[in-house]
Amino acid sequence: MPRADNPYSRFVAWAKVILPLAALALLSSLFLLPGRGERTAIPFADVDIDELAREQRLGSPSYSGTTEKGRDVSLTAETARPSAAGPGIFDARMLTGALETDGGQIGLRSDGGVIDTEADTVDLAGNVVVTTADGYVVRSDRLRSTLGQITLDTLGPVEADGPAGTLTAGRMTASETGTGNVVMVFNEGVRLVYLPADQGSDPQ
Amino acid sequence: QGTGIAFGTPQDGDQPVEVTAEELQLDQAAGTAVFSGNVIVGQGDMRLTAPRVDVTYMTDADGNSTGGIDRLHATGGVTMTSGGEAAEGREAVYTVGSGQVVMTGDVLLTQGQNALAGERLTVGLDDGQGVMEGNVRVVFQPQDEAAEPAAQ
Repeated sequence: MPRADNPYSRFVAWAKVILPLAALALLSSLFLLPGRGERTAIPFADVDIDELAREQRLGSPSYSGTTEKGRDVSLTAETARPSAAGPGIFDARMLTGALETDGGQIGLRSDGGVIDTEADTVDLAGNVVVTTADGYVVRSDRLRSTLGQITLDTLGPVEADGPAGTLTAGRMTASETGTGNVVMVFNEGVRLVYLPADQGSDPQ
Repeated sequence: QGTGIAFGTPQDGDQPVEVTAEELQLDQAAGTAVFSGNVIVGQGDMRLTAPRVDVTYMTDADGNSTGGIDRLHATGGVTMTSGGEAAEGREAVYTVGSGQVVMTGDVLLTQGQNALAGERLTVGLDDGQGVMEGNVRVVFQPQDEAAEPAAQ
């Protein structure tokens, strides 16, 4: 096109160059600039997804129900995975449980355990601790408890301490009596040591 | 009045009390602990044996237990020995705090050759003194060199 001789044509010629460039700059800023503000990582759990899928592991499962006498029972674990032993049987890690009784709550805690939802039993294993409302703390290696109606059985040696002193016994079983009250029985040789000194008794 | 007698050697009331038994039952609601099956309660050189011992805890004013044993109530035929002396009775209550044992139910106390019978024997383990009350009968072994009974 011949050289423009009047200012208007020159202006149009320049505009034909400047305006598209400005548009291009404007358009590209749309993509570049806003991104610089909050560049937050999208939160996602970096759990090994296929391991979870393969194992069908439950994260912090909890079981709660009521016994025949209407006492509520609750049991939670950190993880539980179905065990090969059969349907409805779970291997759980880091369990805590609570059984409601007449005299208050019985607390259970252990490192591991097998929950059988069909037979409604829990076999706790690995430094099991049973705490009662009146201040007894019972420690044993194992504890079998049924959840339908409350029975506990340590099947093995146990040591406990509480208001009456510290005691060791060959075994501890606890069961729910008719009125829903839970009585704990230590047997197979009970030995208790009570220190009157630290009770501040008044020696004559 | 009762007959004062020496019973065992004075011992410190703060020594550990040891209880061994075949079985211990803890009833949370009732707040009781019951030992059964040849129970032996020992403190210092005092031994108390009975088929059943009930533990009652110390309670504060409004009755909830503050932990610690207040009394051991032995029933069903109790024998208590301390040093050379032995005493038998139907029941005994051992108050751990004050170190006092009260035995009741035709109590028979034997000291070497002599025997002392009565209804109620109160023994203070701390000072080794005992008082027998309730138609006290003293039985001497009539030997020529029988020792003088220690009754004051």
